[in-house]
Amino acid sequence: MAQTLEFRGIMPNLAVSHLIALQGQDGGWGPYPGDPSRTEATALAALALQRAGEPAAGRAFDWLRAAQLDSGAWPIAPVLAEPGWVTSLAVFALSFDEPAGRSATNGARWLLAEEGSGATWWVNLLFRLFPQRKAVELDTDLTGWPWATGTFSWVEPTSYAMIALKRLRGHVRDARLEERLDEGDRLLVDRACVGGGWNYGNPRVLGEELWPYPDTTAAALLALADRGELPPVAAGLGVVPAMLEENESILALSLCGLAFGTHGVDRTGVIERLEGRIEEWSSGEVRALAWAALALDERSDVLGLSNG
Amino acid sequence: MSGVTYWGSPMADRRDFLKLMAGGAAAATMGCADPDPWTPAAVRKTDRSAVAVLPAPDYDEARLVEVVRDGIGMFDLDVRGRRVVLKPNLVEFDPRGVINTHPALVAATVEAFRLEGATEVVVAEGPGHRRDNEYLLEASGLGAQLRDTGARFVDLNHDAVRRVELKTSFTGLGHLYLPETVLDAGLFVSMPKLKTHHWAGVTLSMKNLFGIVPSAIYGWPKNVLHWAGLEGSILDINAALDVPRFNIVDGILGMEGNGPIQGEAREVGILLFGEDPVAVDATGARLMSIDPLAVGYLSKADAFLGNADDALLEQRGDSLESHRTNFRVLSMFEEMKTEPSAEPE
Repeated sequence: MAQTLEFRGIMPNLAVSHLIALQGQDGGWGPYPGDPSRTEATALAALALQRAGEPAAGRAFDWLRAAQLDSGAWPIAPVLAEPGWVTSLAVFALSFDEPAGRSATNGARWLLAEEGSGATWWVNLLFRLFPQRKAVELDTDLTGWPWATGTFSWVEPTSYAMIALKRLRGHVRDARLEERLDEGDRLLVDRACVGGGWNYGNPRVLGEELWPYPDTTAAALLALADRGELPPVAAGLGVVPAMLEENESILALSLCGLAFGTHGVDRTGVIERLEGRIEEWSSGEVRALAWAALALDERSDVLGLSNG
Repeated sequence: MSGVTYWGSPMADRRDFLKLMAGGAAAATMGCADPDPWTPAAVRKTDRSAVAVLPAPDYDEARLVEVVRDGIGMFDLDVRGRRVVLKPNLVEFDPRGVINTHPALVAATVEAFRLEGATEVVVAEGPGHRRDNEYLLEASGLGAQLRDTGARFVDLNHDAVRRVELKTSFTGLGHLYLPETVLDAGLFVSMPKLKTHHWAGVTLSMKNLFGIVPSAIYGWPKNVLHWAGLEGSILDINAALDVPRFNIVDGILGMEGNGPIQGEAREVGILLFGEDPVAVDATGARLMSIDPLAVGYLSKADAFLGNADDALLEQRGDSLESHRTNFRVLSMFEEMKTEPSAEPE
């Protein structure tokens, strides 16, 4: 399914140049230019530079390895020292550098043990007795991944965990791997918005439909790259053009471009718009810039997810 | 963890839960007085609190600068040489809705505090639903207003943080990491929209502080707070924030019905000002024809954090009654109303 996009002579990765210019002395990146380094921005920038063949990726991967906790997880920022959802992105990035290495595989094992929580016993009891109180229509028995340990599973952290673990299939021998990925697939199907696409993870509240977002839709589509037969995948891909009619943020264009490329959908128009936006990029979020660098790569499946 | 709100109204659930347990575990604790869930350091309740309601018929920015300056002038605020941090409500965007604090009011407030002598006025928010700030800022119009005013925007979801020990134990979280931009503010101004809220009843200056809790740590949509309990989180955060505070509520167009996202616009035509967030929110509730002491977190806040009792409020500017509007609420909140909604949802 992978396609090669014919770029029109524009330097395909101005975003990579920006990332290199913004790299900190310690090898990492903060959320915004000049901020102290944190895991999410550094993992995504490391991934983007690695895929671009830039040597600066090496220092970024060194930063990631140094920031890893003994548990195998990564903190949001080194000063916090508590395991965080960003572990997925660090593992995903390292899966391109050294997929069988201890850092990536220990991170993957932490991810396999990390589970979102369901409803508490008394809430479940309440819903049996007072079903009218159930304000959202979710299958709370499905376990994905939470933003914060011990809380509920949501679309974005679940999607990131799945792309990391799907990338490491073959490198992590753990009986839970396929079971958790399968349940993650089912959770994303459960959380899809009624008209297609995903938001943060609530399709309906109090009976009223909520709308999808481009970035979370794209994240879920990347996580379901190997599950194209599932109806929410086609529905999600179908609503992206309409969402991008009213949203041309760098983050939205980049992630949707990557999702299109991964699913073999023509991404030319999205990438052309993104090129224009990157040319005027000044001081936005580093993570958006990193996703843009990946989206502007000429390989449509630059994230290596199409074959699971 | 004391509650889960994503599956229903926390207050309603708790009421049901207490009914369910009546005569059981609840009875077993009768006679054992629980200690107050706050430390003496959390108590900020004063003898009286002032609030001001000023008319503001529309979002004309030049006129709003004057109204905001009038409102500020009714309080003993001296912002000369201080950095003022404005925290509007920018939780989500819907082109058909009135979810957020209007950008023209934010811009007018930037200008008003500059004219009052602030060294810098910063606009800061940690959006609760979306992670795409570029989109939120541009679609809402706030980005253009910030460029026009030259005010800096700080993304509180990703700001540098410091650990803050909680002075209250409503959630049992013990501590929160809060943004340095807020903790170091010379004056922190909560700028909510006047809205109903489908879990809490109302959302005003106190609930608006969910946006200062960094989602990079606590998740979207502020997941840890909802998991720990909505009301308790509102109380814990407000008690923890130990900086000079002021509140300006956008009540020009409010939201009734299924707020804070999917309700309908309701014209009230006022701005509401005050230093005591409990007093401001109690007045905001009354403006919506909602009894503030029937709102769980306001009732609890009235015990230690500020004044919700109207006998303890000094009304400045227009009378509350001259602008009181009968907001529609979800049927589960109808019992909070001081008069029945014309058309309950």
